[in-house]
Amino acid sequence: MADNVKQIASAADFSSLLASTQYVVADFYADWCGPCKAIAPKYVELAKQHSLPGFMAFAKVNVDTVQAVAQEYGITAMPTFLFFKDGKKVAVNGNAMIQGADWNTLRLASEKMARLAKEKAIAAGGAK
Amino acid sequence: MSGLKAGDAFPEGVSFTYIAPTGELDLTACGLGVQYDASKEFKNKKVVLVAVPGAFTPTCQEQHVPSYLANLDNLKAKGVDQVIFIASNDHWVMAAWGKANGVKDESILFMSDPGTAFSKSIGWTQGDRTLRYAIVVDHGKVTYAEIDSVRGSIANTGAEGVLAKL
Repeated sequence: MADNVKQIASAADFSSLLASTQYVVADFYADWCGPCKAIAPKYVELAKQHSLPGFMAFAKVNVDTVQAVAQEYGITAMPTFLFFKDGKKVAVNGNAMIQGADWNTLRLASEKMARLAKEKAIAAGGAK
Repeated sequence: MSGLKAGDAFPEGVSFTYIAPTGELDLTACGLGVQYDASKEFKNKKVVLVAVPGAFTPTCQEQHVPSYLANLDNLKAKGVDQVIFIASNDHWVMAAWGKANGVKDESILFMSDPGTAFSKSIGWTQGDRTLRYAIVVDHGKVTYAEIDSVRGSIANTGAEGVLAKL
């Protein structure tokens, strides 16, 4: 079931997403940042393809309007993509984070997480 | 308070703002202005803090930054962990100045002393700008603090002058 990108409005919003979804990709961006705009439509496509409520979500965090979260994760360059499993930041394919609009690395990392999320979803469904 | 001197503790509550360099990512990432807690950071490093009246101004551009670029290895050999340039200019201008000097990494950081707050606190300002000074802080303690007041001279604050006293 596809879903849209989750626009994070506050620190509480982000915590709540991390608590409710096993695998989360977060895009830390700014409105005035060119590379962020360039990769945005591709991020939307990833969300449409791989989102799975409860298991996989794609979030967007505006570093200017949700400063607390940007500072908490020490964001210094945009876009920065972070990955979370069970609420904790994790590395995917050896990348603790992706800095810059690196589409290929982002795509591969997202696809990997999506596969893991799908396995969990199937396992959860089968357990019923 | 008029100036810092060798032997003083570096003051508490000093912070600057800067944009972390994005290095090779320049084409694919934008830097974000962040606060640098100088008092905290200087407690566990040996730092050379250089203040200049203005980014891109003649003496600073033609002599000051180049002297440090040329002596980075010599400074490291004497245990310097970080060289930081500050001025009254905002962190956007300082970041651009760093790039204009070809600095893509953290070898020299370019920061803003917002409102010349720190420079004012030690009495080393002229109008809206900072004076030209260099301070060496070794793990929280000031070991060198000098001004260059002769126009065009970086005898006390250029890399060679500072190296001689390290």
